[in-house]
Amino acid sequence: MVKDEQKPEKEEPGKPENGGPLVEVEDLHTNDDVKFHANWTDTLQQVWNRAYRELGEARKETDVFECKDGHSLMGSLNLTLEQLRDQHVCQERKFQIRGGTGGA
Amino acid sequence: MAKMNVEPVPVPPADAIAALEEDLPKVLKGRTLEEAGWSRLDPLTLLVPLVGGPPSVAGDWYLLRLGFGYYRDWPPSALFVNPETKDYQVGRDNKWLPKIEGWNELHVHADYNGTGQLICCSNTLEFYKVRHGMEAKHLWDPIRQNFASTLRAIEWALRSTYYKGRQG
Repeated sequence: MVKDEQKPEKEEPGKPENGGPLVEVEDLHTNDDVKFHANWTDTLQQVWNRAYRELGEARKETDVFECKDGHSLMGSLNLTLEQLRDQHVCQERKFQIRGGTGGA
Repeated sequence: MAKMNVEPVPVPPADAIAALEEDLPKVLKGRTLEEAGWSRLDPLTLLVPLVGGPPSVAGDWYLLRLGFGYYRDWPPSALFVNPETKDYQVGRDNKWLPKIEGWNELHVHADYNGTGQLICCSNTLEFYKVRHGMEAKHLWDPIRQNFASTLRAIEWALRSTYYKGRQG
C-alpha cells in the first residue's frame, strides 16, 4: 500500500480516448472486471463512475475506490490520471471497487 | 433475502448448489479449482487457502472453509479451520486463526459469546446468525454481491496493516 516504485514510460497526455491510458477496474463484490481506455484528463471520480457503467452496476453507499494494492484513493478522486502518473501513484492504473462491511 | 435481526433460513440444497455453480466460474475467473489451490469438500463446501501478511513477505497460511447452505439469500458461512481436521474446535485450534486488530470492518473472534468462532463481518453468515448489530447499508445484497465479497473482505484484512499474526 505504497506508491509504486517502477516508473513506466511517460505517455503523452491529450491523445484521443482510443489512444488514451488503459485502465482496469475490478469489482470486489463479484470479482468482475472491466478494462477501457480513458483520457489523461479524466479524474479518478470520472474513471470510477465509468467503471460502474461498464460493469452495469450501481454504486453502493459503502463502496470505496482503491488502487489494486489496497491503497485508498478516496482522498484523490479529483486527481486526473495525468496527475496520478506524475505523482507516481497507482501507475499501472489497476483499480478496485471495495464495499465496506460492518463488523469488529 | 437477507434482513437485519432475523434468523437466517437455509435455502433448498438444489438452489444453493445452483447458486454456487453459477458464481464459482465468476469468482475463479477462468481458473480451475486446482489451479486456484482450492478444494471442494462436498457440493456445498469450499476450502480456500489464504495468506496473512504484507504481499512482499511469504506470510502465514490459513485455511478458510466456506459453506453455502444459505447461499445466495445469505452470505456463505466462513470459518478458519485446522488444515488437518478441516474443522475448528474452540480452545484447540486458536493457532489457525489470524489476529486482525483495529479494523472496524472485520475481526476474528476465537469464541464469540460462547457460540464459537466468528469472523465478524457482514459478508459472513455467522455475523447474521449471532444477530450482530449492524447498519442497513452493510446488509448482504444477493443481487449485487456474490461470495467474492466474502473472500475479498477477508483477504483484504489479512493483507492489511491490521493483520497481527496468529492468535495462538
